[in-house]
Amino acid sequence: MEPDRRLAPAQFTEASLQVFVMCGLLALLVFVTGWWNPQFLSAYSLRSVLRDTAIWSLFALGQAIVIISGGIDLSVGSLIAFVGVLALMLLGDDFGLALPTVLVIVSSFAVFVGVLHGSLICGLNLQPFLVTLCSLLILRGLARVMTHDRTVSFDAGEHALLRTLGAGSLCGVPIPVFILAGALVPLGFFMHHTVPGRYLYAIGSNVDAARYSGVRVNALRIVSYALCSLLTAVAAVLEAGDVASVPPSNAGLAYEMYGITGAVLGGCSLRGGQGSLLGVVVGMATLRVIKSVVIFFNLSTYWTFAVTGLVLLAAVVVDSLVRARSQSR
Amino acid sequence: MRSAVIEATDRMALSLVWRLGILVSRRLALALLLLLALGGCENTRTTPDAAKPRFAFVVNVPTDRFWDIAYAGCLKAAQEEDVIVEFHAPNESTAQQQKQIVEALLSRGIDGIAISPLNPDSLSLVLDQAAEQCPVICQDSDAVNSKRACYIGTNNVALGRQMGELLKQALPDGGKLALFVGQLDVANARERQQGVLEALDDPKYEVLGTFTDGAQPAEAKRVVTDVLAKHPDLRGIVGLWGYNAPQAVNALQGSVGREVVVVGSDESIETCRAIRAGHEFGSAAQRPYEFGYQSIKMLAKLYRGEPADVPANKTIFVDTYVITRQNVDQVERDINDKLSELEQLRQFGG
Repeated sequence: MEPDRRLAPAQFTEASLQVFVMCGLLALLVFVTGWWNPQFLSAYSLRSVLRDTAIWSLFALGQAIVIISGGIDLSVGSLIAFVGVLALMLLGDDFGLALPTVLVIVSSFAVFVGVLHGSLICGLNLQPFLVTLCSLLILRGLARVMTHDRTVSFDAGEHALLRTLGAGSLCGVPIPVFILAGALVPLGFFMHHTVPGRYLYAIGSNVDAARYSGVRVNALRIVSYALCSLLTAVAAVLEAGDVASVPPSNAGLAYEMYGITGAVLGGCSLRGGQGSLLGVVVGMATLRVIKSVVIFFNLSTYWTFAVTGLVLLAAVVVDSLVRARSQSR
Repeated sequence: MRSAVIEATDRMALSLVWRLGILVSRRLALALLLLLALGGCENTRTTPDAAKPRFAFVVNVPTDRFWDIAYAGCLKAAQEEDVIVEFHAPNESTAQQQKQIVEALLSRGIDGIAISPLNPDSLSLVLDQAAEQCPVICQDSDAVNSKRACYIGTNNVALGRQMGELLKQALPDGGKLALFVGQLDVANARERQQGVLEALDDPKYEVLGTFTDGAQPAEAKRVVTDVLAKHPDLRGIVGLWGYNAPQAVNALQGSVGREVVVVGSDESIETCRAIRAGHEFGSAAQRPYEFGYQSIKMLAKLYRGEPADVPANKTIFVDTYVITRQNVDQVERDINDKLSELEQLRQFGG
């Protein structure tokens, strides 16, 4: 028996409404900040916003896929730190591996972590929150053990290719944006236009109904965690290239919260079953722009958290009002 | 029927993944055990021999090159004074963890403590208890209201002034400047900020503000980028904490053609690299080796009841120095010598 195909388009409409609201909010923030200080729209500033948005969106997309399928991954920030130090150590003098080899190793490791998460959650029926919380601690701890708690860094000239991937631009557009586009197109197609992708929505909506409908629930949930870890590893390598250093104790700290926030802003419900990948990118762009807003409006940087919270609250309230109005029609 | 078949294949797939996972996990577990055995004990380091007086050197962050250099100084003094030094670093940089470390040391019967308190107000009480049992001094950062015997460390206001003077040297005509730091609720950040502002107290220098980044290098780069974008006429950057200046240099690399002078603090690998490449004008650096050396010397004197020459204000400032392109290679050589000395002292048991 096929799952109810009417389910996904209906949810897509609801999620797309939220994406529409978020796009409006993002446009408003960009317009008001640019009007207040036109330097915000300078090429240098926009490149920085785009680069950070692209890197953050990668792990947020992974988080969104897990959330859509009814799970959660709290290990994202620690995986960023672990993969970052692992990549720089493998590239360093002690191992001296080439970047393509390092990318294969860290990607394989990330997929292994994701498969392990999924297998523990599905095989032993453990709570995703607990399993990934343990990984959060284990991976952060291992990153610190491996480096003896020292920041791993490199000279820009040392690993030119890694530096170009993270901090370089092509025709004025940051390279991470192309990498995000390269990931977003197949992922969007997979999630919105293929049967396994639609099954992930179905699993998130009602796991039992999906199982009784013959959906390979366990295999697909494992795939969702593996995709999340893989996308996080790509983000980790790009961030290491951009920042040129990875402090094991605080690299990627709280990024899981950024990812969850971006996913929710992108129309994902924490109960699973709905969300749009494009919305996640818009959500992450909004988060990044808010950070600039604080500086461009001459506010002290202590205001960052408060302003972020206020703008997000405004987004949630506006979304709720728009939705209530559209349902009442 | 179809769903039963699918469920069976699903279970088989899961079991395959599970077995594969167990196989890989066994190897991973072995590797992890090896890793833990090699690197898991770095937070507490001790020189041998139980019969000698035993002092604790408690630091404020897990570990870094700065504290390695300080530990080399500790071991040198321990060798000269014939004492044992324990090096303790909290797993997380919190006052609560430092309090637990001090309490554990007291219950074990330590003979002296030199600590860099993270939050003087939170730690004063436990330091007062410790001072009743053994000599206690503060190093690197002070707890003025506690009963510590003295403070040995940098005059952070003077260090800030040194950074300000460096910037004036690079920008004699003045211009717009910005300060960057992790957090301003840490005493040394505020003191350095005060010193920089004192040195730049001249109408031709316009300080736009002090920007914080939560002590995260990635965030530090983002904040500098936004400030650079907002102020195309920014002429100078002062990084109050070690990682700030290298991240400012990093942010500037994306802004071709901008001429912004960067001045920082301390002697991290990244700072020396940026100075050598000419991206950072200079850095005002502390002398952590002296923190360690003088702290253990002082504890030994206080423990034995010898005259310690503690000044009336109970403050012993260790001088600072400036790193520029002219002396950066020599500074790196000196640091490497001290780190080699640390390895030798460790091998021969301090």
